[in-house]
Amino acid sequence: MSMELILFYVLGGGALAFAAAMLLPNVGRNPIHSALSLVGTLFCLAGLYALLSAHLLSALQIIVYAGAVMVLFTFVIMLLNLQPDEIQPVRLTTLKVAAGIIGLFVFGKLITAITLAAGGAQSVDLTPHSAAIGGATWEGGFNGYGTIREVGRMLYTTFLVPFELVSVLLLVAAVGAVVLAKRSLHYIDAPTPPPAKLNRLANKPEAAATHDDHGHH
Amino acid sequence: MSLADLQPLMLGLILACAALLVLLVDLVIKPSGKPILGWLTAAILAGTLVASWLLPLEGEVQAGVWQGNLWSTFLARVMISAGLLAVLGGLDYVARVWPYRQGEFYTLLLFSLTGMVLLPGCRELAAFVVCFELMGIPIYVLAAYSKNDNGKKPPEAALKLLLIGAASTALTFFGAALLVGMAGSSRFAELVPYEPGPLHAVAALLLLAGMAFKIGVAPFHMWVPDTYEGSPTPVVAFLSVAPKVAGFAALSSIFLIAMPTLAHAWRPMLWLLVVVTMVVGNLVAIPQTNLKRLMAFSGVAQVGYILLGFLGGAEFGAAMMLFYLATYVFANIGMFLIVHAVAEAGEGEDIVSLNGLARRSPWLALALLMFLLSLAGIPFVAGFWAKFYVFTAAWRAGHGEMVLLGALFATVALFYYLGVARAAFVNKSAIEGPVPVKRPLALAIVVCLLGTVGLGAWPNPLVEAALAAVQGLY
Amino acid sequence: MTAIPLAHLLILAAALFTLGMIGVMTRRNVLVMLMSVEIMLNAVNLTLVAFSRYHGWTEGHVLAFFIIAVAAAEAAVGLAMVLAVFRLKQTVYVDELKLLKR
Repeated sequence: MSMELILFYVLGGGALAFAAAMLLPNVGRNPIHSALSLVGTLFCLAGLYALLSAHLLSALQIIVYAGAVMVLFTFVIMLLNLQPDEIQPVRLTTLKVAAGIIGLFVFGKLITAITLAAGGAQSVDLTPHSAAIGGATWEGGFNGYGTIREVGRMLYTTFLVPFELVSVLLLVAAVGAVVLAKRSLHYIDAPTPPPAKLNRLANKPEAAATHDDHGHH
Repeated sequence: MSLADLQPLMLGLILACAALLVLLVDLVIKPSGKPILGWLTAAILAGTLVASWLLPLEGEVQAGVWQGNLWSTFLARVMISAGLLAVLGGLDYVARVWPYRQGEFYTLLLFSLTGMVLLPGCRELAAFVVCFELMGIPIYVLAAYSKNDNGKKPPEAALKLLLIGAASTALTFFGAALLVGMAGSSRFAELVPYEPGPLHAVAALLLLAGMAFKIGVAPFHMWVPDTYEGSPTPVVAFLSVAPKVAGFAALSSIFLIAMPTLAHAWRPMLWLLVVVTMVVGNLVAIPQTNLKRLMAFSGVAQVGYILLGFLGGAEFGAAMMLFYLATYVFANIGMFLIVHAVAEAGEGEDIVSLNGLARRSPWLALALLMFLLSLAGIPFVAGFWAKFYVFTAAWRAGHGEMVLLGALFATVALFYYLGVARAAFVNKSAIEGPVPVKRPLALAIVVCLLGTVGLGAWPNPLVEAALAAVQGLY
Repeated sequence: MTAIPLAHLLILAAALFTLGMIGVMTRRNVLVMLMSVEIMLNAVNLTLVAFSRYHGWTEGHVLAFFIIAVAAAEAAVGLAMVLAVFRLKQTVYVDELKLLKR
């Protein structure tokens, strides 16, 4: 067994184990444990990306996903101050059974299709080239595959329009998150008179609004 | 690449710039002057609609990543009209209920429209992914906009929409990723080889299931009634049509462009979905007492009919799907705006709240009747031609059984649509005096009424436009 | 040097995707449901990266890049909405939120 294959099984197994841990009712009872399991999955995947020479993505996976997104998750968990669920006997509800069946069905379909395709029985023939993975002889030779330079070049040429739209998308997410999560608009939007302690602001609606509505932009 | 190369994207660019403009004006304007933001948005949307006839929007961007042609322009017009009607209808409501959050409301609506308008022209997966989400994410936020109505409507429905939307997006992307990966190209035209394999079929079905969630096809419709009931009505008016139009555009551009050779895999599935959608939508709509839930299930049923055009396939079916969508925009938004007007008068959102409407506000009741007739497909309003043409398309494609089923369930649908009409025309109400309707809302309802009646009287120009538009798809 | 068969990578991605899907359907904590969606999106990325390596095709990385951006945007809005709901209902459990009415 080669180094690549061993690393693949270790990282892939790790990713699966962490992901499964999130689902187990007893491990995933505490949301912070779920978040940590997710971080584990993300790190394992970052390792796999590196193994597959996706250098930039591997770094992005850790910086953006395991870094920024997961910090957001843990931050919200801390902010809500969630307690672990009470330990309950695992109940098999119809929903869970149905979910399990649907999941197994989809997985079974995928596995069959993938193995069939890999068997070369149909037009997607995965076997002859699969030897190239992890080897040095993939099509096209080494052209900076997976490096920042190559991915960046594509982002700013072929994919310029979607790339610019992503900036719009992130702006939308920022505006949306602020609109949704901001607490201070509660009394402003309420049709009833504001509570007594907020009267100072309510008497100066403009000042209050300027402060509350526009401070974030 | 120069700015001139972006000419075909102009409608989307105008809308994105308009969204930024609204956000900036919101920064500097006094709180008392904020209702102007709604008028500004409406004016920009009307201007964009006019511009869609004046600007040259044909052509390719970046070697076919995005294609502007009659197809994308036709759909853009439909979606911008839907946005304009929803903005006009909700203008006073937004100003009254969320006086300090108007800017963000219109900004998000415009950004969502940007994504929608750009979606039909996408011929490549990266652009598709981004436009798809640009359409979806603002809608999650808009659906949650009533978060602070004193706990009356916490945004649970929006949370459900978001969770199901996000999961279905992942489903769509996974299917797409498998296809793209096997093809080694993200262009739709190269997505499926001449002889597809088993993994292609599974990926196509995943993609179809993900899209089915988005457009509310049964059995993937469970978010629809809750979201419709729980979200602010002007938002529902928008989200009940515009994302559906965009969803059908996306469905066509993927399944009709990329997967003709895979038809044997997705057509039976689609056939099954159409049957289930018609049955579930129509039957579950009957016992509903809440108008918005009724409209939600009626919407599910309507999706079944629209899919019939899609199943009809080829150019005629796709064109009739476009025609159906256009008529559906007027009738459905009109319906929701009347529900909104009645609810605004303090009557609630149940069918009984329409009681005595014919005596109180005869014109509103007449408009309601027209929208209901259109949705039910009665001659001679727009909806009749829509159903007629969709059935023709299905018949031509050899789906005679579907025509029979559709006709059967159109009769079932009469039952609940006329139940609503009966409340307005037969039932009596203790409340006297006309339902107050604000001027922009009245304008929007009048436009919907004119559209519904006008397309019923002269469907041909729109049918021809739809037939021409479909040429751009292939 | 032996290689990693593409099929293995795809099966791993499919398994991750299925786990995420089951998580969305069975877990009742909204936060964990959002995390499950993230796992599903990660499975998408793994598929793209695996195929990219197979074809020597960098476009797959660009697509994965876009999906990471999309996932981040979705997570931000989703978490903000969880906050908004929590403020009114003091819970993050879907059963208590009655999300599954009818």
